[in-house]
Formats: sequence, C-alpha cells, structure tokens
Amino acid sequence: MTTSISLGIETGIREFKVAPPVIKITKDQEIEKIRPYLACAVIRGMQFNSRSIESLMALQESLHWAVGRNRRKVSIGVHDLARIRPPFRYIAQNPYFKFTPLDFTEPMTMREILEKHPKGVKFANILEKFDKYPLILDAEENVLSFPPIINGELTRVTEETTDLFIEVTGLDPSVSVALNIVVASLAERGGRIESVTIDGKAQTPKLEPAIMNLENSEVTELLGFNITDEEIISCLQKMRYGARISGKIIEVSVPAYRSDILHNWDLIEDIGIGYGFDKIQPELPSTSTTGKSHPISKLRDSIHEIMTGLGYFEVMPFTLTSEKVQFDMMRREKQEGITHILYPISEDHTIVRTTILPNLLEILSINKHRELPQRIFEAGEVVLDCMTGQHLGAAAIHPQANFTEIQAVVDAVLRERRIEYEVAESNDPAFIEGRRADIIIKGERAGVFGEIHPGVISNFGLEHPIIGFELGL
Amino acid sequence: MPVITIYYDDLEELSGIDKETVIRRIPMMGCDIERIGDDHIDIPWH
Repeated sequence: MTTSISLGIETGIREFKVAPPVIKITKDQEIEKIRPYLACAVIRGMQFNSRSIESLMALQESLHWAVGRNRRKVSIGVHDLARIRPPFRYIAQNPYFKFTPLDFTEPMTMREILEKHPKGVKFANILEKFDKYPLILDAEENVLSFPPIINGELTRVTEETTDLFIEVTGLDPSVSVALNIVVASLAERGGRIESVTIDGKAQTPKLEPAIMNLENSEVTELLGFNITDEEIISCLQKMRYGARISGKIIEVSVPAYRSDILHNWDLIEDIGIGYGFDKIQPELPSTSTTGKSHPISKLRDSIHEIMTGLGYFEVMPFTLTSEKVQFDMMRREKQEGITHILYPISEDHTIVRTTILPNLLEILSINKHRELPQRIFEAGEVVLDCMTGQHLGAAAIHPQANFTEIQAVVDAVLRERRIEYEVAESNDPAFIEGRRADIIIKGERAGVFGEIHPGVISNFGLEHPIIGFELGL
Repeated sequence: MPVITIYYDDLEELSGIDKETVIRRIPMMGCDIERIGDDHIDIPWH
C-alpha cells in the first residue's frame, strides 16, 4: 500500500470485497470480565514465503506495540486454518488447562506458560488480576490461542499455509482497527477476505470507508498556497482516498485501515504529500530572530544532568491524573485548589496533578515485573491554585532502599544546585513516620523525602521498599 | 516507536517499482529512513 501511495501506481480508494461468513465463533459469558472485545476474519488463497511470513509477524508485533499498548489493550493471533476445525469458542479457562504453546514441544499448563515461557513471563502482568485466563479453542478442543500471551504450536503459519484465521482480542473497540490493518495488508498480497460470525450476530471485519468533509479554504490556509478542488481530489486519490465534490464540500472516503486519520488536518497533510513536498516552493520567513533556551528548559537540563549522574532514569508521565492516585493511594488528604478537568474522557484523568511522586509510583507499578533496582525521576509541571509550578520528583525501589540513601540524593541535588537547606520533621502520611523529613529552604517548606509508607506501596501493588523525594523548583 | 523492516525483493515484487525510486520517494512521504541495508531498509513507523 505504501508504495502505491504517493508514487501514483494505483489511485483512488481500494474497495475490499468481503465474502459472506462460513466460520462462526462464540464468546463465553465469563470472558466479558477479562478480555471482552473480539474481532475475527478469514483470509484465503495466500501464498507465503519466508519474507512474507516475517513481514506478517513484524506487522503483528508493531500493531501490538502501537495500537495494542504492548498487548494489554489489543493482541492479534494469526492461525493456519487448515490445522483446525470450526466452529471456534472464545472462553475463560482454568489456569491448569494444558496445551503446547508456540516454540515448545511439550504441553504446559496456562499457569506454567506465564511462569516459564519467554512470552508468558514478559506479558504475565496483563493477566495477574484474574483467576481464569482467555482461551480460543476449535470444535475438537484444540488450542488456537491463549490471548494475549501466545498461540498454540498447532496453528503455526508456514510456507505451506494458504488459508488464515485471524482473531483480535482486547479491552476496547480498537480490536477492529488492528484487524482491518492486518486484513488489508494481506489482501494487498493477494488474499481473499471472508467475514466471521461472532456470537451468531456480529460480523467482522467491517471495511467500509469513513466519510470526512473538507473545504478548499482549510487546505489552502494550512498548506500556504492556492490549490484547486480538482488538484485536491487528484492528490487524495493518489494517496488512495476516495474523493468527490459535493457543492462547496469535498467529500473524502477514508480507507478502513487508516486509523491514523483523526482530523481534517491529517487529510491535509496527506494532500501535501500527494502534491509532493518537493514541489512546494520554499519561502524565507518575513522576519528573522535569534532564539535562546527558555529559563525553564535550562533548569530542567541542569536537573537532568544531576539526576542521571546519580543513576536515575528520566520518565515522562502524564500531567493528568485522578484524585484516587494523587491522594487516596498516597494516603494524603485532598488539597484545595486542584484543577479539575471539565469533561474527562476517562476516570484515570480527572485532574491536573499537584505532585509528581504518585505518577512515579504508578510507573514503578507498571514495571514491577522488571528487575530491580529501579531509579526514576521527572522534572515537570504541577498545577495548584491555577498556578503552574515546576517540581522535581524521584523514586527508587529495591530491597535495600532506605532513608540514608534518599537523604544522600536530596543532599547531592541541592548541593549541585548550590541551594542552602535545612530538614525538619515531616507529617506527610505518604512516608513512614520517623523516616521522613521536610526540606526547608529560606524558612519555607519546599519539599519532602523519605521511605514510602507500606500502605502506599501496597496501594500501588508493589512489594519492595521504596524511597522518594519531591522538591519545588 | 516500531521500526518496519522492508526487504527489497519483497518490496519490488509487491510494487513493481525498483528500490532506488522508492528510497528516493520515502522522505517525500513524510517518513524517516533509519537504516539502508544491503537487502533491506528500516523505516520508523510514526
């Protein structure tokens, strides 16, 4: 698809023919609580070689990363259809159920796979809250897949494979996005698409294009030069969109595999590519000025140098968080002057953070299956009473983490910044009493450090001692 | 960011275009080139 784009080998939107369903899959009620979304397709008439198999596997892994949030949100399984017998079942299974996973020769229980198989160890954290695991079986109880961990060895795709069954499972409707991209790329290699009936009603894939409306003035304004409606349509067709004039509007049909097109500006960028960046005449700006680093950037650079020198890795968490993470999980009282989000799209992002440390503990929580020690920091923005401030937060987790270590880090940071400070007894409930201290600069409380309270460690699902500090910059 | 490895023989067979033309056009598609190998090209996926 990429090559036909922009080179104009083929133009206009590709219409995908989808044959009616022959194969059915049913969903168990219990799976709704674990991994509820499912989209499937059949592709027939493929001719694979080692290169195209490698390309398919690479596409799958890239989608796991980019769309699937490292398999947590979406995971894809591709199976040799000749080795299995429909109808299929998507169920929640006992952890002691055995099958032979991909790349292994002996059957293992699903729990053993999570403990011993390289893929199981890597992704076990996705299923840690559940006492049953997702499983896809055929009519003869053969295992297709243990989503989102591993496929069964039985359905491995080889150069002899001609027909594929593709299943995409996940936590939200973006399973269809991933399925459409895989299906479209296989159709590009000559595969014939056939839909699958899910639970006797829904049929996937849905490859109808989305319709978006553009006006010439939007395109002209953003690209910076005049372009006719006909030229816009030609550029869009070159980029494999459908496009037609409807009054003053250009109606654009966006292919089902273009999940990256969210806004008219995304279309206009593609019009620019279709037109040819090399054909756009460059112009010098009418004014010329000399730039310099913003004082906050200089401050952050200096902090970055100090903290990395102390063996800490920089992280960049979201500035939006929730009261639950910011206060409840930290055992802290809710503050006055919090900035609330008017229409939050998720219960995880309802306020702007007032401190950084809770975000760092969340990151440690996400990485708890990684080896210790872990030492992370962020110098970033916090908002309180509608004022944006700069904070430095750092946290370290390992079995020997203690007050002395974090005191040495705080001392090193402030010494390097040539800031005189004192410490005073703290009453911050996020830290252990007697192993916590406030940082006092010019007579005012500027920060806090110490050993994180076991209740907080437990609230974030962690098990080892954690130390941390947060300092207003 | 995922990096897509495209083998020249696969690319030329799928597109019918020689690899030099495609490599020349990649920056004009708004893509970066991470590595040009003997038998493949690596492109970061934005």
